[in-house]
Amino acid sequence: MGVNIREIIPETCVRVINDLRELRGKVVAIDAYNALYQFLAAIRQPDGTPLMDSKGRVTSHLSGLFYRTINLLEAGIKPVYVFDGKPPELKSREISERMSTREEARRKYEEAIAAGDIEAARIYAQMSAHLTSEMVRVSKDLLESMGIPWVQAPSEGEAQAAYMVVKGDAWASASQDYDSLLFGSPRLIRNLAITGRRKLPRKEMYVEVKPELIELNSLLSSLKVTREQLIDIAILIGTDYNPDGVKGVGPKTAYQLIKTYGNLERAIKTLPGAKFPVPPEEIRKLFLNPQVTDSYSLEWRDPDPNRIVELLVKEFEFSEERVRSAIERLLKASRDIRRPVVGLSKWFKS
Amino acid sequence: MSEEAIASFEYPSAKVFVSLLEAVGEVADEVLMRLTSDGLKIRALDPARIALIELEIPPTAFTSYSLKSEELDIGLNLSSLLKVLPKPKKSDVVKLSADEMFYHITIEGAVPKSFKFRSIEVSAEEIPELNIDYSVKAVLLTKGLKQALSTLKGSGIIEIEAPDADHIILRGGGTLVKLSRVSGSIIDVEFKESAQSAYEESYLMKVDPLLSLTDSLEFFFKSSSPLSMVFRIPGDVVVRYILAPQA
Repeated sequence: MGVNIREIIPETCVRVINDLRELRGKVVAIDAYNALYQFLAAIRQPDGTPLMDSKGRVTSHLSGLFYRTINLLEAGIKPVYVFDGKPPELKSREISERMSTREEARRKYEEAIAAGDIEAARIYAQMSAHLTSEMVRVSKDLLESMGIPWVQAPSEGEAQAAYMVVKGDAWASASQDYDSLLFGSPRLIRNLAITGRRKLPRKEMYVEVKPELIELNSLLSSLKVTREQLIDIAILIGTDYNPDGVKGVGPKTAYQLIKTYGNLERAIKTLPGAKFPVPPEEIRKLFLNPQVTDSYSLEWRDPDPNRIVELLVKEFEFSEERVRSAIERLLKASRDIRRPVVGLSKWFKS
Repeated sequence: MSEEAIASFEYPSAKVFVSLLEAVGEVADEVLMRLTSDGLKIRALDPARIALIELEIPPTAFTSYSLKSEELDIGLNLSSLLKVLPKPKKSDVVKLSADEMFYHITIEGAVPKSFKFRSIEVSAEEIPELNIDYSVKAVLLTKGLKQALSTLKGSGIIEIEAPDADHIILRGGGTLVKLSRVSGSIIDVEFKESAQSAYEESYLMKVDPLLSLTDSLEFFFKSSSPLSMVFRIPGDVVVRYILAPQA
C-alpha cells in the first residue's frame, strides 16, 4: 500500500502532466507490480469480473500492460518495468494483512454477486485482485516480446526504480505509492499506468485522472525537511514495515512533530503510547539503504510480432485484429523512441 | 452574449479559419488565443517541444473586429473544439464573440450553427524567440511540397538537402523527391551555403492543413537546425511553423 503522505504534499509541488508527450525522450522506471495491480483492478466488466480467457485465466493485466505500454511509447516515453524481488522480512506482516484483506474482499464479492449488488461486487472484485507468480512470468514474457526492458529488483521494486533514477539511468520512477520518494527517487510520476475518467466508488461521479509529477527536492524544500525527516514522518504515519504507525498520529501531526522535534527519536518521547515492531532505526535503514542491483541493461529492442501474437492471441485468446493493429503502432513507436530527441529549446534565445 | 462581449470578430472564410485552427491543433491541444488591437495571435509549442506554431491575423483580415479592453486571452481546447465544429462550406463565414469566461462561435451559412464554449485555463508559458542564421531562404510552391510529403509518407524520417541554389532534395525510406527551379517548385532562393538536415516525418506532415491555403510558402533552412516554414495567407494572415531537427 505504501505510505500516504498526500495530505502534506503542497499543491505547488505537484505538476499535472496534461499531455504524455511532455515526457518525450524520458526513461521512466515503472514499478511493475504497482502497474499490474492497477490494470487488474481497473480493467474489469461492470460487475467486477476481470477479463479472462476461455480457461478462466485472468488477462486484465496483460491487456493493460500491452495497450498502455504502446500508448507510453507513442508519446515518446521509454518505459522500463521494475519487478519486486524478495520482500524485506519486516514487510511480512503487511503482506499477510493484504492477503487477508483480499480473502475477505473475495468473500464479500461473492455475497454481493449473490445479492445482485453489482456496484459492491465491482468494489470488492477490485479489492480482491491478486497477482500470481505465473501472471508475473507471462507479463515479463510479453515485455520481452514487445522489446521493452525489465529489471528484476533484488527486493523492493520501488527502491530499485529510485536507485536507477538517482544513478541517471532513468529520469523518473512511476508508481502510485509515495514510498518512491522515501527511497530517494528525485522524481515520482503518479497516475501513469491508468489515466482518464475514473468512477468514484458508490457514486455516479467521475473524476479526470491525469499523470502528475512530484520532484523530491522541491517537496523537501517546500516542507523544509530533509529526506531523513520525511522518512521519520512516514514511520510515524505507518509504512509497509510498520503498518500501524503511531496510534492517533496522522500525516499533519507527524509533520508537525518532526518539524518541532527534529527527528523521530525525540518526537516519540512525547508520545508515550508509541510502539514499533522493530526499532525505528531499522525501518529508516530500509528506506535509506535498500537492497538494489546494478545488474541490468536498458535496451529497447525491435518487437517480435510473431511472439506477441503467439502469446496474446493463440495462448490468451485476445482479438487478433486488435492485437495486430496495436502491433503496427508498437512497431512504429518502437522505432521512433530509439531516435535521439532534440527539442527547440537549444535554439531559443536566452 | 454579443452585447456584453469584450471581443468580437467576423472572419470572411470559416473554411480557412477552421483550417488555421486545425493546423494549430496539430501542434497543441490547448492554446491561448490572444486578441489585442494588433489582431489575433496564437503561439503554441508542442508538448514534446519539437515544434512551434505561430498564427497572426491582423484586424484588417477580419470583416469586423472589435475589442473593448486592451487585450483578451481565450483558452481554447482545440481537441474538443475541432471535434464539435462542423466542416464549413466555402461561402460560410465565422463569427466569434467572447468575454473572460466564455466564447461563442457561429458558422454562418445557409443554416447558422452556434456553439458556446468555456474559456479554459491555459498556462501562458513564455516561449522565447528563436535565434537562427539560416543558410537557405527559399520560396516554394506549396503544391510541390505537398506532393513531396505525400510521396515520402510512411518513411519515418525525412532528410532535406539543399546542395545548391537550384535544388532542394527530400529523401525518406529509400525514395527521393527533387524540388527545383527548373520544375517551378522553387520560385525563389537566397543561398548562402549548402545545408542538410533530417526531420521527423509525422511532424513535417503537421503543415498539411496549411498547404491548401496558399500557393507558396517561405522555407528557411540550415544544417542540423530547426526548419522554419512561413505561410502567408490572403489578408496578411501569417502562420509560422518551426520544427526541430533530428539529432
